[in-house]
Amino acid sequence: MRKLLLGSWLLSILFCLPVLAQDTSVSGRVTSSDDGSPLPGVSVQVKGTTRGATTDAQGNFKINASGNAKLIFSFIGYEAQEVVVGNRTAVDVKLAANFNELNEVVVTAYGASTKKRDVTSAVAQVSGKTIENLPVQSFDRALQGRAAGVQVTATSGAPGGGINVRVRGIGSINAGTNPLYIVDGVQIASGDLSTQASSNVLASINPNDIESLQVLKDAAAAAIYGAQGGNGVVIITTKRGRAGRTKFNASVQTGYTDLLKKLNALTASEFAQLKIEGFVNRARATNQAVDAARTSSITQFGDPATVQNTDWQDAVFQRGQLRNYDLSATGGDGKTNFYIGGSYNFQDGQVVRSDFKRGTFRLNVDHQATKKLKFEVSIGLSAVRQNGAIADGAFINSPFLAAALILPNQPIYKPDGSYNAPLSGAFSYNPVQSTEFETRLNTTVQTVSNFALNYEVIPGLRFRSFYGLDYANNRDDNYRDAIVPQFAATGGSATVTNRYTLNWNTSQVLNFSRTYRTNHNVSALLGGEYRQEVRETALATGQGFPNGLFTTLAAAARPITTSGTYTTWRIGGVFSSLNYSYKEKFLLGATVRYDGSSRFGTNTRYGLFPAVSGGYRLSEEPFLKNSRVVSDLKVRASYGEAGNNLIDNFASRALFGLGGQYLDNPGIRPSQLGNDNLSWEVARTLNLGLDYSLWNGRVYGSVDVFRKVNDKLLLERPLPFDSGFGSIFENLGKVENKGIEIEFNHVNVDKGGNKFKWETRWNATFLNNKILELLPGQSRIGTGLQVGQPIIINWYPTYAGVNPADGRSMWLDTLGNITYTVQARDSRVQGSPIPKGFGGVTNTFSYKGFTLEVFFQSQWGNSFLNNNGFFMESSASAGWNNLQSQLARWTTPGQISPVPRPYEGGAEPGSSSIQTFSTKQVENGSYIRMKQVTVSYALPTSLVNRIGLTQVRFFAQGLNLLTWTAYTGFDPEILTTDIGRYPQSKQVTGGIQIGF
Amino acid sequence: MIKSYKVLLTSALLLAATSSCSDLLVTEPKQSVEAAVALRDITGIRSLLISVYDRLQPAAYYGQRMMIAPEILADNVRLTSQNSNRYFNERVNAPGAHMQQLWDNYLGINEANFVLSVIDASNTSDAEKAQIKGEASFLRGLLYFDMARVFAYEPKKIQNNFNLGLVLRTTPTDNIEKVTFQERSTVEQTYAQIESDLKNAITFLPASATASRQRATKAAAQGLLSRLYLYWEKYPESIQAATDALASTSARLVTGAQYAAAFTQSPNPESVFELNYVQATESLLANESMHSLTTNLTTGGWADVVPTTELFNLYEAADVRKAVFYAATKSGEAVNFSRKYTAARGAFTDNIPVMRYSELLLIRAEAYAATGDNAKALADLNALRTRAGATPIAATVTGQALIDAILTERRLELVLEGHRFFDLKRRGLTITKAGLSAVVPANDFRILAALPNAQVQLNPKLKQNPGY
Repeated sequence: MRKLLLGSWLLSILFCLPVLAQDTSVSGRVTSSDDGSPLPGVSVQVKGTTRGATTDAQGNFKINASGNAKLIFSFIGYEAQEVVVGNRTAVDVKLAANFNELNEVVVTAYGASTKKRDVTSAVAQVSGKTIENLPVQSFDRALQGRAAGVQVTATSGAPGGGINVRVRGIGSINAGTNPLYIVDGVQIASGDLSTQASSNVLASINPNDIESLQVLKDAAAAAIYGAQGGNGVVIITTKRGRAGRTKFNASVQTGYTDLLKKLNALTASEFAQLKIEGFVNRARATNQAVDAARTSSITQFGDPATVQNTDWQDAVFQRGQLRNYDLSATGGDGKTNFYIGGSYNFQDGQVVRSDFKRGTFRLNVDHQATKKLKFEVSIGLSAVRQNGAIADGAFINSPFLAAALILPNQPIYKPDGSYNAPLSGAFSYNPVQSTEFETRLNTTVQTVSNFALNYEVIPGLRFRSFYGLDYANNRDDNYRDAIVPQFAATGGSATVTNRYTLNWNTSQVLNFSRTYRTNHNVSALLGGEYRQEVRETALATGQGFPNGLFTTLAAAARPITTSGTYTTWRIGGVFSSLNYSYKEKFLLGATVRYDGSSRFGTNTRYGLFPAVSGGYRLSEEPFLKNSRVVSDLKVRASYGEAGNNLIDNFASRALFGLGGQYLDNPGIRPSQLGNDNLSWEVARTLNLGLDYSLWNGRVYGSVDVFRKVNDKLLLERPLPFDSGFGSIFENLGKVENKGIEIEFNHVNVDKGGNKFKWETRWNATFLNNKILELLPGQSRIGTGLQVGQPIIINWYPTYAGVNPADGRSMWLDTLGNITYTVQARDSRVQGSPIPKGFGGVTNTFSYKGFTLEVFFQSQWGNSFLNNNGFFMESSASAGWNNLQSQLARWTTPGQISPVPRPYEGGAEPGSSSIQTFSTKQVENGSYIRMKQVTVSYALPTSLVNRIGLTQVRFFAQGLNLLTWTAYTGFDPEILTTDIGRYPQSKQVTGGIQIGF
Repeated sequence: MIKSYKVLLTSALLLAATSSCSDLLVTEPKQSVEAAVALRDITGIRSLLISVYDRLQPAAYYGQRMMIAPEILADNVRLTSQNSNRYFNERVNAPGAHMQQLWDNYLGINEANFVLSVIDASNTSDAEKAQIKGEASFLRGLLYFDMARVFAYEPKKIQNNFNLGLVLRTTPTDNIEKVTFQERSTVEQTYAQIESDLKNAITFLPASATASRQRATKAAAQGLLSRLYLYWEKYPESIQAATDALASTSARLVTGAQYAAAFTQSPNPESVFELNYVQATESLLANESMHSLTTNLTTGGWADVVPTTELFNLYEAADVRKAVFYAATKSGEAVNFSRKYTAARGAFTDNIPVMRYSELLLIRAEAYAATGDNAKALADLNALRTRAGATPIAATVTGQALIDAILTERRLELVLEGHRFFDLKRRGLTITKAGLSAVVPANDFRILAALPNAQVQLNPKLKQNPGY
């Protein structure tokens, strides 16, 4: 019934087409007012009709129009112009480049676009210019601090590593929180492929190929993506060909990458001293011989007077190289336009022997086959090769944990030059040796390509048939040489994993746009979409290799494991949207989508996602129209629902899965209970916004206030475990994210032309995340999830410092009294790792050919567990090195010290261990970072033209040069807890860009 | 215009094809199958039974924790001076350091319940039905018994009137309606359920001398029943069950000379019930295996756990069981490592003896001694001591002294096999540790493991153990 209604609504619009009038032919040429060059592809429209034409490669056009008609010339990046035809048959027009950002075109869903001034929903935009030539492997990293409401956190600082993007906070507890990424209409399968290196599927897109990025933030914008829009949608548009002479653009840059900082570890001598104190303190407390304890400490950790120090961080970390080569060409005759881009990117990791290499190729072709039929083809190819480092996790193996923790009295090499391995102490791997003799290689080839057919059914009504493909093939190679003592028992082992993701989508869309009686603009969209994804892996492990020269599986003496997995899901839906504006003053929009997903229960597979929005441009009212202050002012409001279906593909089914082995027999076991009523998680967003432009665009920006409530969460409801099941996915619980987003931009100085100009752009987001409901009648799930608290909390006992009398650690118990034996029940909420706010500020200074851009990025109001500190701030009482801060340990009664006295083993009689999780390790995660500084100089055009070029630009840039933070670990850019996490790096590069 | 309508029509058809046809949304998993079809055939039931065995193998259960924690919570073993911090809290009896991971046994229990509920209607011979029922009953009994040892007091050793046992479930959870909140039974009820499972297992399992001792056998069920009765202080029943088990098992005592090597054989000739580990699929590797923690034989292992000096000094010089240990130096410290887990089944891989012949003798000896039958008790006890090359216990040792001697013998014989803590607990004895001020009396709350807090919070009927 619903579909029938939609259909009849569309038909009713079609039949309302007005009758066309009698006209004469008008022709002319459109050029740029800047340099007089012809502008191809300019849209020429007869006002109040659907009649239109576009200019050819020489900027010429021809159109039929009556004498009193007005022609509207519009082109992306240029000020639109209206011209009265009068009795002329030739009309030449000069278009001025447009710097009013409200005229920027916002690409919305399914190939439709609209001017920013007409947008009634919350959409953030980042232009491709902003991220051009940045030495980052994936564009998501470049979004950080650039778009209000979009929090970007690197999950790994490895080159090409993973990124976490949250649009307007996290609303889901057990379902995924990634936004939907769409590259030229292709919905990208999310999730990292490799396990050998931190990887990122978005690294297959060369950032320099990107024309623009849009983030659909509220439900009104994202509801058209229905079940997949709940976490926001990131739309990436790549550069397309522009008619005219073929233009080449080449750039080369090179530089280095380096650690943000090193940890201040104790020297071997300092460590040995603390160790002696720890041994002696223990001997005294347990009535054992003090001298023997001292001797024992010196035997193990050396004599402070003579012990040799090794700086393991210096041995494991490196200053790496970075190189980028980029070449693109664009051109066409107006009928067939193309963009070709190729790039090669190389970057060393911060850990020795880790790196990232990538080659990309892109071909985008548009072909106007007939007047009505247009083809678009986009082919994107990439190949990535990454030598990964072990990172992330409490294990000995992560260099960002181990390097500072290895006992510093041990040299890297033995006197005979061989590796000193295994090491003593808790960290027995020699990381320098393991990086040399363990191969961790990720090779991924990926294509994100599409084909679209556009057909103009009748003027104003277009049909678009779209087919997109995202195919990625990954191969992980892990080889562990038997030379490493820890791997000796296996005789060397190799594991090869092959994975592929085949993900395609198609959409069939009717797009209608029409102006009635001059003032009534109507546009509508009706379409259907289908997406399917398959993932498979195959894995094999062999052990027993002759030596490190033979690393292929064929050389293995013993095949050990073979394994494989397969998973798939599908989604399909129909959607429609309708936009109406009156005199560009009153704006209305409505969207509806009906989606079905294979992930959900048979009873509840389908869902309806509606949204409405409206805008009112006050600046069109007579009382503001001639205001000198207000150039543009619009208020808007929207409300809508979008869904989230990011759960396991088969989460709703009652399943038996594989159940281990015994005596070489395979087992099966019940793996989950079914829920036939499992359905969409719904994100409801109310958004109020204000777009402003004052003093002719000297000050402009927007303010958005939103409340987003994720309802009917896809929640793993915990079950009484004695049932044999730990949890079941049910639609329960509610999470609220509310906040304010502010974009505030001002041109401070503008002397006009290419004289001095200084512009500042701010964006800030204030966010409040809160769980409103969990299970019926229960306010908690475990300890991590509590009604009234943010989704992620720090749940630890309160640390009460050191007892000045005896140097023992103290904590607070449930009653708030001092205790020495802290228990699980003493934990309480100690802040949240979710920041209360984040943002960025960019200052751009330009003078003649010089440009300086300085970009700061910040987040504040969060705290998280520094798990590295758990190890490294333990009064040197365990088998690993500590930080310099531990030298302030308590030594004499009455002394006020933040550091407890060393005690070998950590736990004094009748006390909890010094190493107990508490607020001692919870640190403030706020920071301000000088994210980017770019200096560039473009040679004067006249000079450049003389040598046959169109542009020559030199640039130098630095990333992450400075960070201000109270955090003591490597890097405060942390999602939940810091444990051996790969931090960001500092990058300094220089390069040249040439256009010809 | 006609052309336009064609396009419209085509697109409408495309839309219809992509939206209304619900077949387009049908997907089938491949690693898993829908529950309804999984157990339709006997092959599915056989594989489900395999899964229950697999549940015994993880490091959180017999793979490591069940073998080490009872030793280090008590006084049999300690950590080396330099260690990886594993079992540190157990060493100092920190509150919450226990074997609470065994709450996971409910996974295996549910699977055994599935097996028992579908086996009678399955398409196989009566002999196989009996075999499978017997194995599943044994396994359910073992899973419950181990949990009872960890989470509850023994029926005759109730402390502070706290007599709760386990939540008892004997039917499978096959849909969400069956997931209800249940309360704990009394420990008497729990023991009765275990007794019934083991008696069923004895009934169903065939008397076979050739049955693999790495799966459940009649003898294993009898042996476990004798252990249950010993804990229950039902001594005559314990004697009977142990005698039955000794008679029906194909396990035997090896000679003193073969003692150490027996631990490298698969199965150990002395194992009444043993878990088999295959390196390719079941190795617990450097972080989780017994081999890694209790020896320094493989580089990359942790070598953290060594016998306490007190235990080591209890061995007589000629005792072959002392020779199971070898002297070594770790970070400058002179220590002794065990050779019970020598990676005999591949890298970091050993079989795990759950019940050995010698334990049956010791159970029977203790039950005899408890019933005053000193002569028979000494006979069983000295059979072991003589075999080991140790001086036999004199006939003058009787009463409590004899029981103490048997408990000491259990330490010498069963070290690193996961018994000491349970022996002290079921006898109501205090844990004392040389070099540590920790003394844990039998009525201390730390003797029982905490139930998972999240579970207690979730299920209002589930009562937490005292003190947590």
